[in-house]
Amino acid sequence: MSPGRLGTRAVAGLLCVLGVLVSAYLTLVEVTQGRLPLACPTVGVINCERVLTSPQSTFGPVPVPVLGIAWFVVLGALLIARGAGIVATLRSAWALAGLAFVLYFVYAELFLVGAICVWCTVTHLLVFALCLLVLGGTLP
Amino acid sequence: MAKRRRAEQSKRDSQDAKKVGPAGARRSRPSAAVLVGGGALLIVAIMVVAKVVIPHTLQSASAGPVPPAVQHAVESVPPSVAAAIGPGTARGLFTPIGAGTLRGQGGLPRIVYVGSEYCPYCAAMRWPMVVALSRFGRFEGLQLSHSAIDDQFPGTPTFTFHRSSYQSAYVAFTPVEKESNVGANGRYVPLESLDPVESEVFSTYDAPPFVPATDALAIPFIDFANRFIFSGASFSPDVLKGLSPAQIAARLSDPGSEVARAVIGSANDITAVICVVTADAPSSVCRDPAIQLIERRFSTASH
Repeated sequence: MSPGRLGTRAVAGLLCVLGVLVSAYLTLVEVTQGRLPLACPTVGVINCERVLTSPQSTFGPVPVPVLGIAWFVVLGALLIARGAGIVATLRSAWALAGLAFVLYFVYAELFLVGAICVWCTVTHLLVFALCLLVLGGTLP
Repeated sequence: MAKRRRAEQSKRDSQDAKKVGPAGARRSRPSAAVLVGGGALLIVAIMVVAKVVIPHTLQSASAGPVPPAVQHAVESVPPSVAAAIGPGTARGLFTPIGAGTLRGQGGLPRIVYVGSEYCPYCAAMRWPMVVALSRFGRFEGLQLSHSAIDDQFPGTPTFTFHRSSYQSAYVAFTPVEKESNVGANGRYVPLESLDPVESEVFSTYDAPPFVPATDALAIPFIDFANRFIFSGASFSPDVLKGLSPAQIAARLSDPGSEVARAVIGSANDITAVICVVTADAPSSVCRDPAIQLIERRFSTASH
C-alpha cells in the first residue's frame, strides 16, 4: 500500500476515534441528566442543553449520541476490513447514511429545536469529513 | 523504425490504462465526493438561509405534539402528591376584583389567558395552567413549544395554546397567544388577536389600580371570570432550566422535587381560584381538603 493511502486511512481512523469520544461525552451528559457538566456556551442560538434535552435528541428510547457511537464504530470496522467490492460498497452506503442523518439533525436543530449544539456540530463535521474521504476513492 | 514507434505507443497505452483502472473507476470516484459533499453543503446553506433570512417561514417553532407520557403526567397528577404539596413554593399573585362574573360559551364562567409563545414567564405558567384546567376539562391539540431562544431564560420548555381547544362542563377557557417564538431582536411574528371582550378585559384589568403601573399590559395575564386576575409568573422559569418536557413531567409525581413544588403548588392555587368561580364544581376536585384550605384564602379575599 502506498504511503499516501496509509496516511488517509490513519486520518479516517483518527476521525472515527474523535467521533466516538465526542459522542460518548454527549451520551454521558444525557445519561447523567446534567450531573456531568456540559462544556458549551449558551449564547444566542447556541444552546447545547436545549438541543440535548429536546424530543429530537432521542430515537425512541435511544439517545442520538449512542447512535453516533455506533456509526463511528461500524465505520471504523469497515475501514479496518480492507478491500474493494462488498466492503467498499458497505463503507460508502454507511457513510451516506450517516450524512443523511446529519442533514436531518441540522434541520431539527434549526427548525424544530431552534438552537444549535456545538458538540453536535463537531460530530456532524466529522461525519461529513469521513464521508468525503470514503467517497473520494482514496481508501482501497 | 515504425515498428519500434508502434511498440512504444502500445507500451504507453498500456501504462495509461493501468492508471485509469477498471472501467475508469478511479477517475469517477473524486466526482462522487464532490457531488455528495457539494450537495450536502448546498442543503445546509439553504436551510440556514431559510431560517435566518426568512424567519416567518415558520410562524411558530413548535416542538411537536405532546407525547402521551407528558399528557398523562399533567392530566393525572396523583391526589396524594397534590395534597402533599399544597401551595408549594408558588407565589400567589392573584388579585380579587369585584366585577361580576364574566361568562363565555354556554353561560360558563370564562377564563381569559393572554400570553405569547416567546415569553419565558408564560412558558413557566402554562405548566400549572394545563395541570389545573385538566382537572375541570380536557385539552385537544396541545403542542409542545419553548420560549424564545434569544430572550432571558432562553428556550424554556412549555406548551402552546395556539391551535388548541379546551372542553369543560364547568368553565370556558379562551387563551390568546399574541405572538410566536419566531423572530429576533424583540420582534416576534404575530399569531393571534384578542376579541373585543378579551381586549377590554386585558386593557382594563392588566392596568392600574389592579396591577402596578410598571406592570401594565404585562404577560402572562389571566382573568378568572372577572372575579380574580393573575399577572406574571408564580415561579421562576429557571426551575425548568435544562429539563426536557419529559423530564419535567416525570418530576411532577415527586412531591419533593423543586419542579413539582412550583408547578403543582401553582396548579393548586389556580384550581382553588377556579373552584371559587365555579362555586365548588366539580366537588371531586373542589372538595379536596388541600384545595379547600387554599380556597378559603381566596374566598375571604374575594368578598
